[in-house]
Amino acid sequence: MTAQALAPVEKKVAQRRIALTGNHAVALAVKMCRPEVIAAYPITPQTPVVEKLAEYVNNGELDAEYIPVESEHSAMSAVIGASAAGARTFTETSSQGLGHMYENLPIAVGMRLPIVMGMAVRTYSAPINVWGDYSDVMSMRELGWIIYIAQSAQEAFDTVIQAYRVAEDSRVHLPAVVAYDGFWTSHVLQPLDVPEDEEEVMRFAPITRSWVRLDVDNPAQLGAVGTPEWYWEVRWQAVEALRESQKVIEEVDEEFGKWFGRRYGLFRTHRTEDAELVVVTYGSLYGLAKKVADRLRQEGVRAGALRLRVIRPWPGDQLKKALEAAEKVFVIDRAINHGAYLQGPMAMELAATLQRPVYSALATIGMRAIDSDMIYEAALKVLKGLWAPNQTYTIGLRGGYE
Amino acid sequence: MRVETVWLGRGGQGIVTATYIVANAAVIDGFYALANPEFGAERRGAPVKAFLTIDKSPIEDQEPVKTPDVVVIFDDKLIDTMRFAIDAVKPGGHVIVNTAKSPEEMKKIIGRNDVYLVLLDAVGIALKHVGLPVPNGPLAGAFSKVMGFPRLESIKTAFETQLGKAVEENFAATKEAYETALVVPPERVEQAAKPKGVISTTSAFLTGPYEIVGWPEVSKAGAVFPGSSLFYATGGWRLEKPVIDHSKCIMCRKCWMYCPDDAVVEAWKEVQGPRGRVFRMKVIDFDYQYCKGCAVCADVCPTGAIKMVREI
Amino acid sequence: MSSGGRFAKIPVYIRGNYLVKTAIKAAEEYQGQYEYANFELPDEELFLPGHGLCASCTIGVIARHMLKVFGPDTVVINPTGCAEVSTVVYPRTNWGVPWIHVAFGNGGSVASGIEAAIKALKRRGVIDPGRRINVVVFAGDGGTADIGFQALSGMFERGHKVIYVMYDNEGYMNTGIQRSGTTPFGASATTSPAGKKVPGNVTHKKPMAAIAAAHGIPYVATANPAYVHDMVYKFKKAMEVDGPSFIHVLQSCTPGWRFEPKYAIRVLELATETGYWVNYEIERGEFRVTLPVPRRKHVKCFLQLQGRFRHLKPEEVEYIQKVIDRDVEEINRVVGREVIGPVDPSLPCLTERK
Ligand SMILES: Cc1ncc(C[n+]2csc(CCOP(=O)(O)OP(=O)(O)O)c2C)c(N)n1
Ligand code: SF4
Ligand code: SF4
Ligand code: SF4
Ligand SMILES: [Mg+2]
Repeated sequence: MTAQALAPVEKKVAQRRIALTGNHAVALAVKMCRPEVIAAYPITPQTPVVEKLAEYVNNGELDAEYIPVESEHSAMSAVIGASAAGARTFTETSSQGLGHMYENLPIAVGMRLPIVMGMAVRTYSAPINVWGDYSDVMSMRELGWIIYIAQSAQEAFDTVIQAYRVAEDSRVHLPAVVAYDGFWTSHVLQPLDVPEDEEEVMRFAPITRSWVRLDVDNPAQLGAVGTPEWYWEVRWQAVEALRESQKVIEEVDEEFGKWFGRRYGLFRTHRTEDAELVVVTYGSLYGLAKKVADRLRQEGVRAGALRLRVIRPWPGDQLKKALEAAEKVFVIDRAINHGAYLQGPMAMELAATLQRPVYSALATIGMRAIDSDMIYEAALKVLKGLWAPNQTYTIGLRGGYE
Repeated sequence: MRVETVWLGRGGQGIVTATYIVANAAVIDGFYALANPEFGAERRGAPVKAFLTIDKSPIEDQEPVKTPDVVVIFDDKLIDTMRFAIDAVKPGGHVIVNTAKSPEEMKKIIGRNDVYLVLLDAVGIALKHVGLPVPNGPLAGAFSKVMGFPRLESIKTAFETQLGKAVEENFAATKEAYETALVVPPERVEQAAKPKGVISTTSAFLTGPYEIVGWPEVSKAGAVFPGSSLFYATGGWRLEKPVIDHSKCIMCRKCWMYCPDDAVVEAWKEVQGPRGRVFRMKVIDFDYQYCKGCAVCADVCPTGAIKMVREI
Repeated sequence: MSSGGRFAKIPVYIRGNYLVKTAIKAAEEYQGQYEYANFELPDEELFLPGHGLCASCTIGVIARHMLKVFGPDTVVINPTGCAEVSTVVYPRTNWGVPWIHVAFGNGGSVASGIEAAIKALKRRGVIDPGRRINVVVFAGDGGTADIGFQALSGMFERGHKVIYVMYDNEGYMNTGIQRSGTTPFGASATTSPAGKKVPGNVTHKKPMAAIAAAHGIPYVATANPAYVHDMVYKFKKAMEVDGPSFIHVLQSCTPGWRFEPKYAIRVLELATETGYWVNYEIERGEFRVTLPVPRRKHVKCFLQLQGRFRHLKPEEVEYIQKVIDRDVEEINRVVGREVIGPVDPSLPCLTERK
């Protein structure tokens, strides 16, 4: 399924238009999903999410246990405990906070806990930098989490709801992270449509409680030692579940469209059908990529844009189909894959998927400012053969590779 | 020349150290050697296996030994669980066993007439010289005796580097074993014959009698459920077993309270009275399936009703 | 901390060189009968046999009795360590109650999450609101005093109703006997070996019970599995308070302490008989010695049974004795009376049993 076909369908659920920042949109979505336990720790740029949730809880608008933990390690530990005890849970973090909770991330996968985590992305220190790039979420790719990257406040809102439904599906039972641009989405006020009746969200994503839980009436032990004879098989179930989750993600997205009138697909495309050049990126940058494609089209270049949305599980076959005809695939990455053949993480994965050279560039590192002209210039270099495939260029690095 | 060996014992018996010492000594003697222990999650007492390969040429093919030339068994109670290893010894190879049993009995237990049986009371020898039931030094001595290498002096040097202490005591035990180990030659050897079995590459045998299933069948999220440990008969870890004299027992239940393995149980015993009437009495008994022979019960018993009796 | 007591702000007894000020006052020592006589400890075992702990490991003794008191409506959180790796190894488990291991340094936070979840699920009617479910952390000294310290402190400070049982074998035993924050002075461990220059570990035990008490939690106790009745009485009390509780239990370890397995209980008895380990409780700020020791044995009785202290020179043993004497003095001062008596050299170290 390519995302192109996803024209708005008729909405079943009555909605109202409001304006929120990305962070507050996420907090509102979480509130509507009625988690039972929230444990989180402040870190820029996601802090407003956990503040807002605390406010909801303390005002009695959300009946949840809010644990103001003393670190992100404890935040993830507490939601693992709570989820294992059968509760719907939420936490959110960025960058160093993710690093701090890291050892617990693969544990949530092995225990098959449907935790939903938000992430207003931010780069890693050093130098310390509180601004948004995708270094943090990219470092989660090997762990077994479902990874969504949203473009806007609306999509972040919608994706949180979808994530609960997917994670708790008995074919999946895996944790999911919903990432979005630190600042460029998290702190940008945007319009979005939200259900008039919050109950609709719980109707769409009811708490299944179908996962393996700690239950005094049916005592199980979770977190056993997996010796070399067993580890692989137990872990493999999570591998298969993540693979399987792709179907569920699509299914849920489709149904979400029927209910709420918005669908996103595994990735989105813009004028790619006949494109000779496709600019691939993720997060809020997609808007610029689309603008550049349109500008190039006006100048007679068959250009298109593609936005990666679900990067784990990786929709390889679908991407292959969508990009098959494109002569030049130009990936603008927003995180550094230090020391790799291509320094852009998604460029590497797309090259492996398409099994041909791709064009690669880095942008917005440490939230270095960017505009559509800069992307346009870069696209021209690719078109004119000034930039070669199999190399990583930079857009905006002083003294960089341009 | 290459000699491939498998050493089987229990955590705490010094099996890893034994292979390190023999390997180290072989290196001193100019050989190449690889001592490759397998580490499980268990504590001392649980079965452990280690591979030791000695060669004249460098060894790069570091893989599990499947049909060893020599198997060294640290504990004759392990023979039944480790029969697969004995079956895998090449005809004409060696089975070295720490045992206090008679050669006739051992021949029967081992059940092979095409290998050398090397028997020694390694625990007894170790207790005599080192004061601890660590059979590793004596087994290294027996190995040296039947294989002709490594040299005893090299073993002594290896004790110095590997242990760094109690070298004389350990070496005395090694020497006594070298001198006294009993070698029972095979009745007949068909050199061309293949061993009866091979040692499986997985070490699954160590963890219990569980069905080894594929990924779709393992329990979701790796969850486990109560009762499963009851198949794990830790009684095999024992060197000594507790035996009770009911006439001395005052049923204070201290032994029950302090047994870390829940191996002290209450049982009903029938006793005949002087005029034939049968009485049922509640008594203390042991669950030898799980008793690890730690002797805590004997030590806490206020009346000395429990005695420890050596089993191997 | 319940404040406004008769003796506000009395320095708490701390082993080693430090004093922490907190509102702790003396209380009468425990006078009552223990809840359970030998025959009344429940027969039901919720910690089943067939585990991989070393022969004689007293983790088994603690776990058995702990679950006898807490019963089946208990969730156990077991951070990484000997207890965890030896008791739940796929596909087997020794625990008869729900149990979870997440990682090494997060017993306190996983428990916080579970406790919070139970509360929330009771409110939403998923769990019967009238049902009492004990949330129990069973963690080693490393998982508590070192890597899990922050999570523990957070859990206390936020007031989660969790019973935290720290089994203290005075080292990282699972990884092969490295020192931890609770390894005592003079002990040889693999990362504090008795060397030619340094006589083993040169720091004192981190005073975990006092640190827990300083958080103002309602119940803190020390216990010793050699005194089962005292230990289970404390489990019972911890279960009944409303708020976090902390029980610091000494646990003997054959390979770590290097004693003959059969002495696993004896060595623990000696710990108390020498005043090395004092069994007390701090209940809502009231300090009470639950096992008075009228006459103490010399600490060498405790030390000489263990290989980890074998290298100590007589002066070092005397230094340890002095530290204990000072600690005992401090305790007696806090209690206001001599609950732990003087060293009596005539007491034999080991009374041979028949
Ligand atoms: C983050 C992390 N660091 C280190 C380890 C390795 N490790 C596992 S258990 C352990 C020591 C456990 O010590 P303690 O808590 O005292 O328990 P014990 O083994 O003594 O029972 C260590 C260092 C780990 N599992 N995780
Ligand atoms: S020897 Fe140890 S394991 Fe066996 S019954 Fe006695 S105390 Fe229990
Ligand atoms: S400790 Fe001794 S006297 Fe007491 S019940 Fe056990 S065997 Fe009997
Ligand atoms: S090493 Fe120590 S704590 Fe660990 S199982 Fe053995 S005796 Fe118990
Ligand atoms: Mg420890």
